[in-house]
Amino acid sequence: MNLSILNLAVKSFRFRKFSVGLTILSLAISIMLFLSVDTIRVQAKDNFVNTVSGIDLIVGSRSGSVQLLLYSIFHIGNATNNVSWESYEKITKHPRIHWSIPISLGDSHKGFRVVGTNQDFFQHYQYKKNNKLLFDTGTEFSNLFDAVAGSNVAKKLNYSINDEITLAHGIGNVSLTSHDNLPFKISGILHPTGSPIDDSIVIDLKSLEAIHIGWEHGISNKTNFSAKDIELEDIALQTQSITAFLVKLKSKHDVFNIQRAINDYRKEPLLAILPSVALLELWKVVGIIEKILLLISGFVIITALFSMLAIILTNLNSRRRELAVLRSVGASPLDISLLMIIETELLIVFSMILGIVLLYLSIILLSPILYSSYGIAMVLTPLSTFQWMLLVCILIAGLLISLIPAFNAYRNTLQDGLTIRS
Amino acid sequence: MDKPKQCIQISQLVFRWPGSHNDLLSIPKLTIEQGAKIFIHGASGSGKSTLLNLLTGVLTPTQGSISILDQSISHTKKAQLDSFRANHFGIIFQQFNLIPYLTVMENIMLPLSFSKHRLSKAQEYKSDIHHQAMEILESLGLDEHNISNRNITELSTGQQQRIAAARALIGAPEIIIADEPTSALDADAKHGFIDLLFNEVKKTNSTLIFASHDHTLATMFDRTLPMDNLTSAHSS
Repeated sequence: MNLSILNLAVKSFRFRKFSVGLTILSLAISIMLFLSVDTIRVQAKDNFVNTVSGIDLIVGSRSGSVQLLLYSIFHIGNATNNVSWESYEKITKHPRIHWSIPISLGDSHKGFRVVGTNQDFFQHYQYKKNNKLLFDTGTEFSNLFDAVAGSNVAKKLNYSINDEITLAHGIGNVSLTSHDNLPFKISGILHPTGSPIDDSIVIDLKSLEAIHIGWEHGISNKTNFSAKDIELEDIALQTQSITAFLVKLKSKHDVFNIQRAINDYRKEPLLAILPSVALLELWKVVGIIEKILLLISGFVIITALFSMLAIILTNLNSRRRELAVLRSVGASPLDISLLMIIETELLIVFSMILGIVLLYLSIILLSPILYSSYGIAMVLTPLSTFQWMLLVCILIAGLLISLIPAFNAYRNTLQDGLTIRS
Repeated sequence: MDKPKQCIQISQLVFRWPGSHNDLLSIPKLTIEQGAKIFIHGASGSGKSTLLNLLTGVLTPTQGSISILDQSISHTKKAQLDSFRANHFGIIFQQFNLIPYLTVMENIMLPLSFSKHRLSKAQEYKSDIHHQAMEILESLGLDEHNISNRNITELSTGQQQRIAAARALIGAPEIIIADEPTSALDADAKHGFIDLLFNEVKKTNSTLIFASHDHTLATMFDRTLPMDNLTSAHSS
């Protein structure tokens, strides 16, 4: 008998295709919204936590760990102090250290940060779970006045290989002091990474040293200094200090020992942090937004469920006659209530299936755009336990909601008996 | 056939709505034999529907008792009455009898999916119930090949009423209740419909309870129960 009621429900849906379709669509979109917010949330967190990967420690002058992470990796804010080259060399000679990348910040180009580093950067720097830096065009710097542009820099400023750029002293769009006597030539443009590298210009540490010749006191005392002069005079371009450096150890087991050793370094107050720990700490601050988004899309689902209930109840009035006919051919009031419950649950199940299909469609369609404009790599993953739990919650909520039309139909059927009210 | 001779027995029946002081219906004694064709005559609002709801067990009498097929329905539980009704009653309404999202055939078969009793009875008569439904349609004057694939909404009222009759008749229930089944039909169609209905109930020896406000139909029936008499008895 239940089978025939399920059959009735399906046939009545087919008859009311349009209104049923719209109800399913609106519920499906809200379910997709929630699932996609959750998927993006999880994957954005994954992306964020893997902004820089494949390194074990970030080392800078002593400050807060989030602060060090912010200026060394995200290029937000400034270091209060530098790390001397001497300390850098000494520490990185430690036998347990595999390799290291020096990073020197402080200059900018039209609002984009300039990162001074060396060839190790291109060889070792990794983002998003072990992706190496790739070039869209060109190569890494080989001459003193070569610069590599991040993908956003090249896109926004419309740069291509061999364009000449000048760097500014200090950070910010409007800089009064500039290094325009020593122009750089773009040697390569990086592939998008979804990390702050996209908004950076990468040059050699030596070049950074070169453009700061005569700037020892923070302002220029020599002008009209040209690239030729530097090459001709063969000035020893020895880096004095860097902002921070990234360390890869030979074995992960040493991470706490080395961290302690660096933190206890006598000659200079230094701080070594574990990037994943600091990134998670930072995500807790950023992550509030994710929770708000999730909350909002939760309310969207609740709204959709209520509007579904409203539609069902409105339909119920116009179906009173139909239900009385069913009663007259032998359906009991319980059968009629069951019909209402099955119809509501069917609506929800169809909406869920459509919602999941829409979710995957949108990931497939949007992930190239998300990746190229925001560097967020979306991957098709099966639904998480949390998402399945949510779907079960919606099913249960639907069951509870369906009790309302079921009760109404039950009451109407008893009231109407076998009389048809039009 | 081992059908009971008495189909419906009513004694000392009083019905009034809860909270009301006037008896809506009062029937001291009424007996209807199996196979009888009864005409219940009364204007709308005269209590016809109430009587039909009492006979089918949808409403419970305030006093007195009703027996259907030797079973007292005034003391039977609602849930049991639901299946009793599904098993023994075929019901035809004034109009809009059919479920619009089901085909003609599905509409006719509907009682069989709610009553195993009627299903087995139909199968006993003819194992191919589909063929049986077509047969009924045919004897009700419908060309089943023409009809069975059409949308319910495309059919005329007369066609719909005959399909409703086929649905009430399938599985040969003992009692057919028809509540103003002809009032949506024109005069010629009325008599034709009733004749066809009579033919069918004769085949299965079903009792026909036919309610209408149209007294001109009364002569066609074995017996007429004027609602006026049933309601005035205790009204003073």
